[in-house]
Amino acid sequence: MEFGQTVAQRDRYQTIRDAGEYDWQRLGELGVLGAAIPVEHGGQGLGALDTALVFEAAGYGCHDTGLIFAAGAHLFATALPIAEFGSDSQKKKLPALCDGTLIGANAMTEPDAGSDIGALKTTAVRKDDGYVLNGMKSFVSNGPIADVYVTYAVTDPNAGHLGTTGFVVDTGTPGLVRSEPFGKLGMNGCAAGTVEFRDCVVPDDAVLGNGSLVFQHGMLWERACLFAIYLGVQDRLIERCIRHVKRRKQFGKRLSTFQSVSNRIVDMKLRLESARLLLYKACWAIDQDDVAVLPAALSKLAVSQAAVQTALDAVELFGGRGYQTDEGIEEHLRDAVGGLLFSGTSDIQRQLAALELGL
Amino acid sequence: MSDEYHRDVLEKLTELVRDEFLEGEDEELTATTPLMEWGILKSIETTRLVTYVRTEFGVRVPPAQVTTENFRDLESIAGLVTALRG
Ligand SMILES: Cc1cc2nc3c(=O)[nH]c(=O)nc-3n(C[C@H](O)[C@H](O)[C@H](O)COP(=O)(O)OP(=O)(O)OC[C@H]3O[C@@H](n4cnc5c(N)ncnc54)[C@H](O)[C@@H]3O)c2cc1C
Repeated sequence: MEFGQTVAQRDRYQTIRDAGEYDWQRLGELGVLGAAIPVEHGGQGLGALDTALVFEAAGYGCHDTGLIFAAGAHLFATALPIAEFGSDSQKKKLPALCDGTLIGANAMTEPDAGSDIGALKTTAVRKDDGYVLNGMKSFVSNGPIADVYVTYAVTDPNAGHLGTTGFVVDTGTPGLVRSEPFGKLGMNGCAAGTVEFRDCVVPDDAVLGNGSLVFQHGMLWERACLFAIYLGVQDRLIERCIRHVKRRKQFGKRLSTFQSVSNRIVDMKLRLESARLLLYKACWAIDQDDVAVLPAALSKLAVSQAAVQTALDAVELFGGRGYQTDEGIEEHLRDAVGGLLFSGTSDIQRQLAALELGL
Repeated sequence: MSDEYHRDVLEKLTELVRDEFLEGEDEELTATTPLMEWGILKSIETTRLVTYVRTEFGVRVPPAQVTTENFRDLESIAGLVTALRG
């Protein structure tokens, strides 16, 4: 879809989409890792909509969706919170986070606190000129390889969900123990593991701000912009399905001539374009400084569900080949499932939407 | 005028908390009941309250203002809404 795009947006999109080879350093060079970070800190200074277009282009161009997801977790839940809430000394990390020298990770989820972030058990207790962190974070994308962690701990048990604080903790801090990558269904280009804090002492300057505030800010951007990856992925997948059904013959005819086949592709396209508009609207709301909770929740739901259904449709369109791992179709389905969970599950998005509707 | 507005906000917020969050179990609810400490305002309730303030009073509470001090009790939330209205 090209309407409303400026020449600069189109050029940026094409450069990223057609970059050919992608790895962490290259994503830094292409401006993906620091897309939404202000220029003075080494980023591209883009708003939410432009940043989404960057991730959409990367999702299209790079066939390793896990790698682009890792870039999203790094940017939206680590670098961006530091840019938005960080102290001057924390912000000194930003140029290296933008150019790919450093990798960031966000450590929130705990064994007993997933959707219910008010149930965090990790504590940060004041000591001398800092805090002592203790607790376990159970699902950290980039966790096994990150250089910088943004994490959350309870600092005021009497203040409920507002009694948490966000911290910036460097790898190598004594007491920060990270696991090897664990196995998972998809997004295999992004290593994930656990991160444990065992009497981990951090200075006062590790404090990023009120945990609820910092986390919700990152989640809003994630729900809106990060999911643009799946728009690019679906564009690419639909194009591939179209090529396939126009080439393959059964019963002496091309698959594309069977109306139930072409209708399936039309429905894939309809789902994608509807989700895309919702995502652009959510990003636009962020850029306008409008209340973006409802559009972001609706967009996250629509994009994540479209990604799963489109990937499932692609498997069916490719038949047995779609199910075989060497064809590279089934991996889209495995990569899409995670989208139903991270940045808040579908149930949680519905709950947020219901609250915004006054229900 | 501002006092009247404050009183009106406080009344409506009390009604919301009493009817929706406590479902009538409100014997001890006053303007200074510690909402966070007593677990009355958890994250979902806080989101609902912020949405209510926006739709009912037309006042948008910036995320940075959602703090333990501002949301300590009904009195302080009403004070925040009155101040934000300008
Ligand atoms: C690919 C991937 C990457 C991730 N990366 C990170 C990361 O980098 N950092 C991080 O901190 N976390 C990360 N996570 C964890 C993710 O944020 C959590 O899995 C998610 O928030 C859900 O929490 P949970 O797994 O504990 O599930 P639970 O909260 O236990 O939910 C289980 C089920 O119950 C439902 N449920 C729970 N509460 C309610 C409710 N109130 N109403 C209705 N239904 C409800 C859920 O929707 C879900 O279906 C990642 C997850 C995935 C899959």
